[in-house]
Amino acid sequence: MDCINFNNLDLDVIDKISNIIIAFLTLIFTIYIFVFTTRKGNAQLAKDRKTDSLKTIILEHNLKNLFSFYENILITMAPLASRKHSDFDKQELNNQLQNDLKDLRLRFTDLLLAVDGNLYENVKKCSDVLIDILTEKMFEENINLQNKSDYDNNIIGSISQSKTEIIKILYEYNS
Amino acid sequence: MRNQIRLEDYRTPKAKIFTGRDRGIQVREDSKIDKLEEEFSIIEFIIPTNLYSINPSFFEELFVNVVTKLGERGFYDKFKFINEGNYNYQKPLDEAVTRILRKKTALDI
Repeated sequence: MDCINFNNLDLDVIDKISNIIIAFLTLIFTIYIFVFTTRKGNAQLAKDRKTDSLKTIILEHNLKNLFSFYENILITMAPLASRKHSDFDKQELNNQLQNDLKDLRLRFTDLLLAVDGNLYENVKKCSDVLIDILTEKMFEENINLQNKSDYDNNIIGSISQSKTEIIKILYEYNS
Repeated sequence: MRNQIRLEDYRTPKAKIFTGRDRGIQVREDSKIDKLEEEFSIIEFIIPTNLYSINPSFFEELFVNVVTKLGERGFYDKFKFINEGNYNYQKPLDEAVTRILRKKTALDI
């Protein structure tokens, strides 16, 4: 009889200890889930805030400056289609391209720094690559830019590709 | 090792321009400019003749470490530019320095 009572007592203690452990683990798990979801929510809120800032402060008011940049580049490069230019003439055109690039930085790209450093870097690199490509094409002896097909492929194509690339960067950041 | 960098030494034969980030990185590494900056108080930077364009992207990558370290004034105090030709390198150089410091300032905030 004593043996049976002792075993019952033993099982009762084990049962209580198990309940305490389960309750404790449940509490820990609940706290973990609360902290995890709160952090995730905060991170999402921060991203939403950045996206909203990008849309309202920068894109709505300044996206026109990005498109102006590409229109200005087209105007700057246009004379190359009509006649052969000397290296000094090309230097002047490159000088204007650099002015256009600086304008873009001041009126658009720099503003992205307030939202996201990586976004700024990507847009800056993309616009730099365009100016570098156009500079190389205009000084490339083997390309005849007075030929419409060559001009379209090398100049218009590069400008169009750059514009698509930057819009893609902005769109992917927003989505 | 001399306190002088001749851009001509890094020019592709017959090239009239220096453009691109990759080229800037390559010249930075090949010229060991960061090491020269540590060893000398004054460094001469020679811009060659028969040059028609240096884009800011090239200068930005070439000078990114020294400008970040020295700041604008320190950079221009230490690096003395000598122009052997007629190309006006000052405008793209100033733009590159501004960009480097603009980014650094924004990231420091």
